[in-house]
Amino acid sequence: MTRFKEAAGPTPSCIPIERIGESLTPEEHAHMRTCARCQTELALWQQFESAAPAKDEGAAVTWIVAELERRAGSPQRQKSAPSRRWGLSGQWLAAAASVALFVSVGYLMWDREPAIRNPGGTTGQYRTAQLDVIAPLGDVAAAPREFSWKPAAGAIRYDVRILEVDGTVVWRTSIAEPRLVVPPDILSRFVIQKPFLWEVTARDTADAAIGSSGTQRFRVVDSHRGG
Amino acid sequence: MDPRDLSDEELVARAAASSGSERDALVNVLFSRHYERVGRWCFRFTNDREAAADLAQDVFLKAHRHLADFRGTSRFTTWLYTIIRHESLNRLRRAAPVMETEDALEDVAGDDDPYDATERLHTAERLRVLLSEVLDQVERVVFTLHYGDDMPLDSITRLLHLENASGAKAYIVSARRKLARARQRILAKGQGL
Repeated sequence: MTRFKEAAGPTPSCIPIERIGESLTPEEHAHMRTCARCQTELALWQQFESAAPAKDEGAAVTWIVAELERRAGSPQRQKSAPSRRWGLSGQWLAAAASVALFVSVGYLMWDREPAIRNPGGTTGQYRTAQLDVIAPLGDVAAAPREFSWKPAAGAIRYDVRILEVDGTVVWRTSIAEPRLVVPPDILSRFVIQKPFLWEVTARDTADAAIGSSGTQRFRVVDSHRGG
Repeated sequence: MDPRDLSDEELVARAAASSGSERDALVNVLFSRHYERVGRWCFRFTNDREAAADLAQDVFLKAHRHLADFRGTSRFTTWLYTIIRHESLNRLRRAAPVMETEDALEDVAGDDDPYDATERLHTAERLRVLLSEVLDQVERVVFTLHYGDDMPLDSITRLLHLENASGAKAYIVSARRKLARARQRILAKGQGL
């Protein structure tokens, strides 16, 4: 078992975890093809990033979210600035102090969390796990009738979610093409000055997430008045 | 601009340039966006909603304390992932679960004697090659998590969203069978592993 732990552990040539979901260099991509450890990290990251719900976990996740909001003193979809925040709550500060002490001891005993490192000016990068979106992005002059992104190799389906900024899902759909035409009832919800978030996840024949756009933002601005 | 209109990365940058209640409000907006994503991961990892909420709380506390370390060279969700992964695996180590005394790799790796550090490195490298050549991708991932990270099979099943009847166990069984066959072939050729 010891020998397998060594075999399953990271090697000096392994891709840093904080780079797993980012643009990979050709060298990193070649390493990924043969490294069980890096493939494992990618699979875990894809599951985290895609956030695709599984059967029978909806109620539990809803409870956990509500519990986090309760503990942070942040009522769901609060519109005004909450008085008790992650950084201010006395309860949180006490908990943070306890956790900090425990984690600090843990750090000394175990390994350290990897810092986010600069990729280092590599050239010739290409996208693997990250989907490049085309539109809409940022402030747009009119309600977007179409959402588009660059196709991902091996993708047979794209799951698209459009959300309000508080996380309320406006529309969720799947499509085979890397573009999505917005139906009129959804289009009418893109009112001027209201920001929206959207994300797209590419899936392969095994329904595995093979790419994600991350959360993108857009807002329709009044072109006569500007943003 | 309303902070809820900002991207994750913009919120971190604004928070870094703020202080007091303004910073807390920005961080609150940022974190609450990811409650569901983090909560789902934690539930799959623990299969217990209270334990999942505790794990998620630790993740956000750590993210809060280390937010100044986020340099924007990756997406915020990737950075958050490094924290949740680290916290989850540390929790496994702290819990020190009693693993099944499976000897899957004893089967594959052979005897322990003689076994100095150099030999260990060579064996580990040969095992890496074997995993890459013999197992399919899901088997490699399941095997690595179970034997490399001591992750329980039910956690692996949920985290990887495996929907076959016996989940990760099926992949372990299949992987062990393949590795045993590969070992037989290697032994037949008179090569060590």
